[in-house]
Amino acid sequence: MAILPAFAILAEDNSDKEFLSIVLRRYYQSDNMTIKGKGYGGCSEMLRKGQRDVEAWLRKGVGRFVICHDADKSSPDSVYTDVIKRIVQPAGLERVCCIVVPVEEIEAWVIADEEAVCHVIPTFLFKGHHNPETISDPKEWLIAKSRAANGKPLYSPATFNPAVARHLRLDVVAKKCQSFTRFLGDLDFLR
Amino acid sequence: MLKSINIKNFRSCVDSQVQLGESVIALVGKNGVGKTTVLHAIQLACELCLGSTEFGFQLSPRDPSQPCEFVLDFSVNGKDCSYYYSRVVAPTASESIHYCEKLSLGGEILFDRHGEALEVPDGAPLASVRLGVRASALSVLLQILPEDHALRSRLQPVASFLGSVRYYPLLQGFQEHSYEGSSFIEKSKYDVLFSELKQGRRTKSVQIRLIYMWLSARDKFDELKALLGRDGLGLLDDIQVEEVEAKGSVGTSSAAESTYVISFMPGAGLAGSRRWFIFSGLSAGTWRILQLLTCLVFDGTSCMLLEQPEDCVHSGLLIKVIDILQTYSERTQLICTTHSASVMNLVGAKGIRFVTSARGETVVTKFDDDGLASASAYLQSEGTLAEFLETL
Repeated sequence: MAILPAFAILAEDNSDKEFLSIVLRRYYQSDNMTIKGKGYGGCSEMLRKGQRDVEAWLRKGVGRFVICHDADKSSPDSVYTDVIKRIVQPAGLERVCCIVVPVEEIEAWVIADEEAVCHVIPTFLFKGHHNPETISDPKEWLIAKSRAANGKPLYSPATFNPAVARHLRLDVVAKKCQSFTRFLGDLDFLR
Repeated sequence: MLKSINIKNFRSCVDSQVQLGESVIALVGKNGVGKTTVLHAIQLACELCLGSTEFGFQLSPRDPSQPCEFVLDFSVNGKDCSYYYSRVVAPTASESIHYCEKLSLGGEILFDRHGEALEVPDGAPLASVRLGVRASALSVLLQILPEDHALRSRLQPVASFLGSVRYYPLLQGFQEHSYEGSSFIEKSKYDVLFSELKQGRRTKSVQIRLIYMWLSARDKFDELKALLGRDGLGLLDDIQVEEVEAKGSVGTSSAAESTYVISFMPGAGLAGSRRWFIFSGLSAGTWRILQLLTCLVFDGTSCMLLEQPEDCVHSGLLIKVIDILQTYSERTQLICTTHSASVMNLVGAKGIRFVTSARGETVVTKFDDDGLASASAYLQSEGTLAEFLETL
């Protein structure tokens, strides 16, 4: 098996970074691959500091980059454009970078696989959603479902998202979420 | 939910109005400006209404000749409530005692007290009641009103709400943590505390809470383990409570006594993983998170008054802990003091309260609409809330 280059993940927060890191390892089936990364304090901080951090990683030999920016009510295309203008082009990453734009947030991917959620919190009888990318605020939606079910514990995204990522059925999520399908396609390209 | 408190003539608060109507509030400001005083005032106002003295806070007037006053606005079961308290702590011999209390629920006055005199809406049966100067009106009414009295049914939810507002001091845990022999709880000692807990008394001890949950509320014990465990924070893979026979000291004739020992298994990949630790062996950071989440799960408070949740906690883990507190905040309102940029970012502009000192007096403000709009614009285009706060 070919040795994978080192990756770096830029995400809006630490939870998203952890989630993507686990998905990357599972997709490439490599527990040993090197993954650097940073969770910022929101998208604006990531756009402002991303180029600087990317250049630092490039100097340290990181060869592939994953940049995750929630759509958050904006059109995914405009988010793509923004990330390219603010980070990708200034840092010269055109051929070694994958831009991930979950619609609306990464929790849409979590919602897509109810079995993974129930595996992490067995007392939360979560029924999922057939089309998670149509939910306007998936994080709040998921928490509300957990509260309504009197989950023990309640679903706290920053804590439980990474655990769900370990059990996520990638094919199931890809069927329900176009943004995830596109993400996996980009990972194939970066291999 | 607590909505606001007005504090007059109490420590550094001359006339401080604090808006609290958010599920998560962070009081931010320099050391010594009065953040903790605000938390103490909230706890004290609740205790004065209930006639309890759990934390032993004193009415400490800035000007002893003037009354200390609190107006606490809150909602219970969707109804607006307001409690007014006013008292001169040390009246001169010639002055009559100034002690006023008033509680209203949904616009209706439930009691109005002036000194020893008490007025209630269904007044006739209680018209002759006179109150002692040390007794709170609410506690007296709940003691003397029959179970089926209409007023009692309106007072009881208010008392339950205020009784479950709870202040969590920063230093309490470390006293328990470092006390020699503190990792072993004699069964006889626990049994006494258990009966007190059953009667509604509260404990400060995290270990007593853990033993109680293990013995009598296993669903809560499992909930806590899930939050701390491998699929949660990854901090403690397991928690076990054991009852062991502890022999008497060498050279004494004392009989063996049953003792509870709580053991903790650190999460995989952490220092000490796969080894069991007793309570006193936990690091300060692990202990702090254990304390926060144990209290959150066990106490089921209506409002946590929390000093610096960031204390001793790594910034990466702090984000997850705050997220858990936010997720639970619909049930348990969180009002905390903080110096942490991470906590400020997570709480958001609406929940930030600025505590400042003007000529030695505590002033508490929040963003107005323009400030919120500016913060929102900054967050979208420039950086984090903590960075925005630095620009103010």
